Amino acid sequence: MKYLFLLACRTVRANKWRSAVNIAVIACSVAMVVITSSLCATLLEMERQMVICELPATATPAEIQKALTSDWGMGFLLLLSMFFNGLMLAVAAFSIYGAFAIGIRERAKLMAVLMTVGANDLQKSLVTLIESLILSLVGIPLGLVLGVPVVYIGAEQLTTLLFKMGYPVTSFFTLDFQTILQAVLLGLAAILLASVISIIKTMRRSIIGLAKTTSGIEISLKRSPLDWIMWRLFGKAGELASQNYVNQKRNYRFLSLSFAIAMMLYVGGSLLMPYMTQNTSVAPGFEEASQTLETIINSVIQSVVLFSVVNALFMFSTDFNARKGEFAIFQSIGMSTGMMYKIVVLEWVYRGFYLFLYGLVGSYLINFALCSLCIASGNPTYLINPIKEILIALAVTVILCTVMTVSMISKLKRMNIVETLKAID
Amino acid sequence: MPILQVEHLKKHYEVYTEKVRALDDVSFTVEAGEFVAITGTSGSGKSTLMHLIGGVDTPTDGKVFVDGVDVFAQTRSQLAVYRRRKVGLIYQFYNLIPMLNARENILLPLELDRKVPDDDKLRSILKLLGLTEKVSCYPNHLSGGQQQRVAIARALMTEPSLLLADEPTGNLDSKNSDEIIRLLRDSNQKLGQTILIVTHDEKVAAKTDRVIEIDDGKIVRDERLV
Repeated sequence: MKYLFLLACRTVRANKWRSAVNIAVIACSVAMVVITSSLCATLLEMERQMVICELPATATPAEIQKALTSDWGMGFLLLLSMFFNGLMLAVAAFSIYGAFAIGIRERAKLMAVLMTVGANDLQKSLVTLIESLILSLVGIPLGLVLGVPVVYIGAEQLTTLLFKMGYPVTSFFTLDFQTILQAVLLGLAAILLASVISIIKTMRRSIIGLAKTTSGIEISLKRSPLDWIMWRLFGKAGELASQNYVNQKRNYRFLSLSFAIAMMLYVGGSLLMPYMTQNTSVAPGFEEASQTLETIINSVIQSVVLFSVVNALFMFSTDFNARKGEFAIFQSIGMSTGMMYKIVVLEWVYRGFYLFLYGLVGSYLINFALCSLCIASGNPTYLINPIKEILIALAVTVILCTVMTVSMISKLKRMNIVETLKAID
Repeated sequence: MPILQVEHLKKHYEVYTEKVRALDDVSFTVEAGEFVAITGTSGSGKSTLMHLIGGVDTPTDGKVFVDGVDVFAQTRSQLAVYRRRKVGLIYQFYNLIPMLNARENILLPLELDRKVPDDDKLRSILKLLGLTEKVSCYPNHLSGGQQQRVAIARALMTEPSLLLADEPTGNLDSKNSDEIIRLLRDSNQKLGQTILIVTHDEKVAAKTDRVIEIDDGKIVRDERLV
């Protein structure tokens, strides 16, 4: 037991970059869950207090309750908060799961060696679980430390602004135990789920099968119908890029989902204020409050997008480490560097296309959902076409894929073929 | 009773659409204290045989008995215990855990078995293998020959019924190769360890007591050299 604990601790230390990435993903995920949940709660509290402020001082509790229930803004914000909370939970869960699943998969050889010397399933699992818990013990508190001040600052700013405008409101800072517990449990659940699923997958494979994955080269017989089209358009490089994408797609599906949902959050968040103010004019004196609110929402949305992009950058950067053996073999058999670069470029174009496509479909779905929510809340509205937001998301996707392509090509240039081939064995 | 009995062992698998007969009805026995070489050309099935005896792979048909116990009749947990106590596996690429130093790698099987290591035994194995000065070193600070000696020490520490070495010199230069074979020979003669070594090198095979040659999954020669 002592050695297993030692092994888990040293594995975390030995893989500094991987561990740092996992901790950063956990921290950002937990922070974003805290921020989103609290922001939604803060907005609801703000709306509640504003509704109450507009009632006469002699209003009875029943009248207050009636006013709150019939206020379309309350209904809209309530449905919206459930929706955005759900999406943010999904982004966070997929990100954490994706990060851990990749890390655990890369340790197939360690599992194989442990099995060879007689470790049973429980002992193998303990190494993985201890490692996951160590990372979560650092990442989750860090996420809370990051998220809580952001929520506090935002809520206090709103409170101060409305107070100056004559609203006798109390602090909107809403961070209850439930929100913190939700974020902590989400982080733990996603990490443990990733660990357990990966452990189960390891158990299903033979020792020989695990040992053979050390090369990082996993061949799948799956072929995409687009292989032929890519070959016709771009030659062998196109065909290889298409096949590589299909082979790698499964490894990154959760991260791709996380990216797509983040795009949906961005588009949805950007449309929030336009939908809310579409058929209502901002009351005199509330322009600044409305702008502040819009700024806060946009900041959160941009943080979500930034988080997702950073997450994707970190994770896709492991793509090279996992596949450098494959590239070393290509080089050793005489593939030109030009063709290798072409494969990398085409792969990232391919990947970027699908990332954007999933996000685009999701964004229009969220647009329809927002419009429907408005109508359901009693505020008739027309559908807004989020062209500007979609183009911005497209630009982000292009920039991300360009950065990854350039990064991968520069790594290929510096790669030592012999050392890489030795590392496969 | 022989320490190892292999009875009608078969291993077939499919590679894409092609059926491969890695082992085809292999049967033999090994007595305690023997030093046996399994030879053959590349793809003959010798490593597959080693993996099956070591319990790291499962056969299509046939049985393997080690110390009278049917290896493949065991549950997953029992197989883990079997790999821990009954066999010691040595590979061409050492397969040490990089995050543990030499001592920790050597004692890992005992740790998994929750046994307190015998310090005298550890010292004698370290002395036999020339690792006394290297116990605190991590694998990336050891040469190939030293890493292989750590792997051998790890295998010997549990006093297994069988020591299985799959091309242990395949990744070493000739000087280190000779040294490793000498060490295996010493552990066979001084400790009475039963050893099966897979090799394609006839010179290595010539230093053992018995040679079993495999070709196309079948035994084509079984010859005692002494």
